[in-house]
Amino acid sequence: MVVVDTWLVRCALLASVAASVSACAPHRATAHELDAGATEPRTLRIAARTPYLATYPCGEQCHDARTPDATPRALVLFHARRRVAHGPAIHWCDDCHDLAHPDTLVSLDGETAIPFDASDQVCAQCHGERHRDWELGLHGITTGTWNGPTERRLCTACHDPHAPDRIHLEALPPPRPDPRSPEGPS
Amino acid sequence: MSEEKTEKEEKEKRRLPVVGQPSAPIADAEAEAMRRAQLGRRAFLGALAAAGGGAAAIVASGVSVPTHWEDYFHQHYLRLSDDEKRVLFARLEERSFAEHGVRPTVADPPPLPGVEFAYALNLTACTGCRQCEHACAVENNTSRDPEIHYIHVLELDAGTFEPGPESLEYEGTVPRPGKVYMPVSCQQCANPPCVRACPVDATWREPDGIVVVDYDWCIGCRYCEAACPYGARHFNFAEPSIAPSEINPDQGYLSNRVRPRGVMEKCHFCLHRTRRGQLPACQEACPVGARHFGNLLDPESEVRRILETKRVYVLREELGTMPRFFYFFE
Repeated sequence: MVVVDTWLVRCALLASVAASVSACAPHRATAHELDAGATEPRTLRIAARTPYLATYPCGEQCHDARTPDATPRALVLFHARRRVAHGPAIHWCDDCHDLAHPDTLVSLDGETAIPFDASDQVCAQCHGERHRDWELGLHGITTGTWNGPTERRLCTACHDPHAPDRIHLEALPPPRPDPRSPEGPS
Repeated sequence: MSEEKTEKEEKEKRRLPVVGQPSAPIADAEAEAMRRAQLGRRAFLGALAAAGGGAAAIVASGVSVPTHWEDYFHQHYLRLSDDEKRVLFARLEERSFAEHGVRPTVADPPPLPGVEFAYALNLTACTGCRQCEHACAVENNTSRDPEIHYIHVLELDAGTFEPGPESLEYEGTVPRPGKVYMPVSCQQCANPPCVRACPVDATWREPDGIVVVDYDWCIGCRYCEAACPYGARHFNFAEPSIAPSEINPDQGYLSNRVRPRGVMEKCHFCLHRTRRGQLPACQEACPVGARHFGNLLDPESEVRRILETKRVYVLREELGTMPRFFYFFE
């Protein structure tokens, strides 16, 4: 069962209504934080995802004019390069996308609409433990400050939800230290 | 005495000792130093030794290197008054402008009360891309040739923690199969062996847990480098070389100001950033979110939650150095 009534989702809904990043501050500065040199209280906002989705809003751009078809088939056009390789539980688009309302996601039971800017709630249905870590800031990328406002990115900012895999990067070059230093060539 | 003459004398005193010239400027400077600091006999001999040593080094190297006379005569950082700091920082800014054409802001943000910094690094997430390593070099004005990097990323066989000679040399697409990556930098020990090894108190542990170096007080003996079990301290064998366009002008006296030759340097948790609430440069550069930085004394901080809920370990725990740098797995 999806827990949609968390403050996270409320924040994200606020965000989608305002069509901008949400600025929610459910946190009051404690005496400890103010001691710690913070000029602003600790706040958390979840970075909106939709500005980075090239085909969003999906309905406006294409899908309003198309008849939903949940039959698994070869994908064409914008989705031609999509690969659905997300574990045994996800088989086709409609597992996570609401075909009737293409601008939102949907819970696995098909009953709860989830906005793209709160897409972590879709992931949390299976990856509960990891999601809890993400909520606490132990997993994922948090930017901003360590004692004031912070911003966190959604799961899909790093993981491709259609074919999640560990990201691979080109390593930057190793250092060339002074030959006299202990790290230098021996 | 006319004002003009005094000015000329002042200039004469500030002239740097140059090989092949009469040593009058040195003698003048000694006298000036004695007068100004009212040094006792012992300190005076120390000053003489410094002057002689400097001159000897210049003769030995056979070239005229810029020697900053004033650097030998200002106090240890911890004994500087606010006025002296202002003068000193202004001088460093001027010198940077004269030498590199970049006018930085040199500051010394103080440690924050109720804060002890700590770092936590997720070894499951780290891909070994070295982004942190290079972002650190850019932020901290470390020498580009020869290169000094505060962070070294070790490539280890999965299941072992035995670095080999080629652990630092990997290249290409990462992560490679069967490998784990462990970035190692200063562990900011609560019981730092480097601090005990320093014969002149040029390095010490600040109240917020950061082990810092006073580059002007360091004599370059490298005892701390030998004492550090993590290989975290680096020596400037050569004059640090950085292109002026790459110099970061936001500088801290105890952190990322451009170092002179012959001093030790090390990671300082980006104290010129973190003491103002910002995150360290390596944390911001990490593309996979493996790095977490925060206040160990704040029960709500990420690092505290990691310590409380994850399988955490520290490097070389058996040495009793009590690092403030924690590694964890997911």
